[in-house]
Amino acid sequence: MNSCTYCALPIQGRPRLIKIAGQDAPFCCWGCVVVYQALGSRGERGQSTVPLLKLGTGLLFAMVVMVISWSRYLDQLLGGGGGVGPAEAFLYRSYLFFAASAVMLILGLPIAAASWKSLRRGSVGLDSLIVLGIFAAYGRSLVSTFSGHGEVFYDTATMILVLVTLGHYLESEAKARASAALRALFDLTPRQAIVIREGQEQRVDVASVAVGETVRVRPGEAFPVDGQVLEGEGSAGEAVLTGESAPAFKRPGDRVFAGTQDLDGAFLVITRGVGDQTAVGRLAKFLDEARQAKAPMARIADRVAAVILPLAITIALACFVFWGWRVSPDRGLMVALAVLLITCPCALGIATPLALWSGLGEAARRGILIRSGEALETLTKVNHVYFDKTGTLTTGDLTLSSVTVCQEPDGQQSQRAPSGDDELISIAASLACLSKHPVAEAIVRFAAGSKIAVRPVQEFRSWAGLGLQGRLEGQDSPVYLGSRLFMERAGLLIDAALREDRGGAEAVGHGKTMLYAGWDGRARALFVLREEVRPEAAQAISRLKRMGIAVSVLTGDGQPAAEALKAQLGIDDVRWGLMPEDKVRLLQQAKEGGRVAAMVGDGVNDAPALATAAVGIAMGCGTDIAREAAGANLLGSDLRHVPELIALARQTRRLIAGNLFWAIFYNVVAIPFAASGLLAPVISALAMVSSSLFVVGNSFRKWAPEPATPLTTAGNSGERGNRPPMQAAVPRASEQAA
Amino acid sequence: MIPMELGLAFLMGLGGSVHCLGMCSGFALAVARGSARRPVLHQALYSSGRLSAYMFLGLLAGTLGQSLQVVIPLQSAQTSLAIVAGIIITVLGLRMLGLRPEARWQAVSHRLGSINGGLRAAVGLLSSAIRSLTPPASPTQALSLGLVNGLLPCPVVYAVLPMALATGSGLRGGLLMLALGAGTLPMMLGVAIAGRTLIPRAQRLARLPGLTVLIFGLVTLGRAFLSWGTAVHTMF
Repeated sequence: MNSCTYCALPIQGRPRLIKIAGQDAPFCCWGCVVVYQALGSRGERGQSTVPLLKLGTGLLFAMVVMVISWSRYLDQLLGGGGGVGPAEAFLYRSYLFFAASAVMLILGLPIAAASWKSLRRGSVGLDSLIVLGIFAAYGRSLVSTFSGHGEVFYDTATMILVLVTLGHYLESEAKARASAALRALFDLTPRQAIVIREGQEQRVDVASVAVGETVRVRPGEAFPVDGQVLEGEGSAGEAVLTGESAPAFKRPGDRVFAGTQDLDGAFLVITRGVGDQTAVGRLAKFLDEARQAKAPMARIADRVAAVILPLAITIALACFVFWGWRVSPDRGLMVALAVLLITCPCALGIATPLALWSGLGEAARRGILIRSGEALETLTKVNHVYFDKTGTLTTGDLTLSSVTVCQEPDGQQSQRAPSGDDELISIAASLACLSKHPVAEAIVRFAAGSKIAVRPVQEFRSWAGLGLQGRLEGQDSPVYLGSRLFMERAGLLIDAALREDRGGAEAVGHGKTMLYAGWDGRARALFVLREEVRPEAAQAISRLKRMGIAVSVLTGDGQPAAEALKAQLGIDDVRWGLMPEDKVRLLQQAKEGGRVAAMVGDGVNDAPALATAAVGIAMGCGTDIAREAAGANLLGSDLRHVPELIALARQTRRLIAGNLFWAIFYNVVAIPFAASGLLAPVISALAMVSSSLFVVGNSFRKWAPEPATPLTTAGNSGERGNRPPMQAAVPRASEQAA
Repeated sequence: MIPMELGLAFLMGLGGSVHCLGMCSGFALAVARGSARRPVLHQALYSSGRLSAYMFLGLLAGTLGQSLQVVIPLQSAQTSLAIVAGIIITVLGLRMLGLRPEARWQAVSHRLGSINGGLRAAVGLLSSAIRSLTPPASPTQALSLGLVNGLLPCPVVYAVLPMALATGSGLRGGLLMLALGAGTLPMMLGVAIAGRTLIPRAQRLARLPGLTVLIFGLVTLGRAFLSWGTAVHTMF
């Protein structure tokens, strides 16, 4: 994909090739060609003011011409200024010729050259006609100057030229600024890295670091590459990728990501990816792709431009003939020029892309990536949001919610009794810490959070799908930790007190996970784990409802779990017991029923549903952006981004509509005034520039800040990372098993 | 008014250009340095730019005076404007000579100083422009440099601007400033040709600019009072 030499935008369609220093340089539009040729290449911002100076010089001369002309009108008007004699009048006439010619040379020639090239390529634009008008006015004035009679239009010719160039300049600058801003968003990777080569530390360009090389990262720096920690520990700020504001702790073996911040660790990192191959590089590429895709609304602009062009030419020609015949050719020229200037939909070209990029950029700043303009437009129409349950509405992590300890029957004392639940958790955690299973991890997390120590385990064994087995140091018989089936296979008796249909019945009904621990022929404790609903879920759902959007949940869980969720989040429509293909079918039905459905999922197992929905929203994709199925990706996993995303899309749409309105509407309204000769060409040119200015200003205006409502965690036990206090979360054994 | 005042303005440019040398000779030299191939064209464009800027300022001042006449009757407007202009120019001339008229005036000159401070922002912009334009590499840049140069604050320009205002016509104001600029041409072109050697010699005439401005102010005042007297005389 080519990008424009001047404004650095990706070029859509056929590029305009201009020879620069013997090579064909691509440009996105003739506007950029003009500005490039008139003002020179776009240097490093702030380093060179030469382009603007050229424009300034042109402007100043045009103003001199203008003021002289006004003074002459004033003199005539007031009658008193007859003091300017023929000699001075001649001086001024000559000066006007000099100043106007300077402007024509500085700003007019490049514009004329660009128009000529575009004409030769067979594209007749209003721009070319305006340039023709400007040069006609200048030529007419030349004739007057040298013949000594007739009107001069130097002021009109120069001022319009300056304004047209100014308009081009504003548009090109705005485009360049918008795309630079989008790029800068994920351009966080340092340019250089310290690599260890042959035992020596070397500072080199990041691009030259090869996969597998070791890189040193010091506290306070940003990671230059994606990689794995080899040495050192410390925390890393990964908010840019994960949306998680709490720093992540990194130790040897952990993955680190380019562009994230090393807060306090001195690391040695083995490079796994550089440049485009890093997570942040893929994000930047992703955003670039989104920028290039043409939004459906841009087609409105194209259609309008297609209508306006012949319309403007016809009216201008008619005016030229009419006024030229009725009054004078001079008058005809001026009116035709005014008509061309007022109809020129110059701001149309930037109306949609600027607003779109502005919206995409704002979304990305908030941790939301929108794949394309089309996705953004679909988002504005969404009237039904479907949530996946596991990993989306819930954190996907399990939390220990209760422990039931079996009382020894008949007062018989077991060897290890009395077993309080701390003791039991300690035993279970000792086994669990040797496993990576999510259920085991939940128990270990809980033990760690409650400061319960684990003990050494011998003869550890993991039974896939069933549970864990191991012997605690100093004990004779093995401890079993696992499902009910595991207990039965191990020959452990499950006491009535521990059966689901007693204390556990309610738990099972809520779709929770059961786990037993036992030894010496008997199960001793029942652990109940449940999925944690995201603390912000209720807030996100109520905001969606306020926005007039229906909310449904699709889950593979059983009915009891669905009922519980209904009660907890206030969602009426919870579909349960669904296989992935059922979800797809439901979404298809929604589409056939005329609903515009958005599907929110975690992106891995929900891919078919995400692809089926009108627009898919994948969550938590920061470090892995290859979510082709989704139209929008949330870097973090904050559910409140879902309503925010839709609100932002609607805002962007309004912005585009506003831009289109100002780019088209008031020009069209002014056509009759211009055609009846009421608008001076200079005023029309001013209107043209102000319409561009409006569009630029509108697109760069500040966005409404994201709602900063604090997270209320009522009814939910804390966020991820915060361990609930043991007393509150775990009912005491004595209370449970009575 | 025309020949007399134009001549005065030209003489002021001539005398005042000694002042120019301190500040502006650098530009002329830069243009000479930047244009090895077409020195004449570059110098001509640089000078046209500078003169255009003066004229632009004169046009604006004159047009302002012209619009004032819409409010105040012509003759008295012109006369009172000329008196005010004469006073300002005289004071400016005295200050350039290092004399402070009266303690009371210090408040006024302090005010003028604060205006200068306001100008500093604009000058900052101009100076960044100058930095990227020296030495000028193309004819356009030589022209632009002249324009920017002409817009830099300069006491000689300040001295003639009130007079341009008092002419009560945009066109005449512009002409007046153009004459001033024409007066500065010999010295500036001389520097471009002769180089730095001219500067120390010319600077022996350090008092010349102040004197010229002072004389210009007194002449303006005298003429204004003369025409005022005539006007009063004809009333009776």
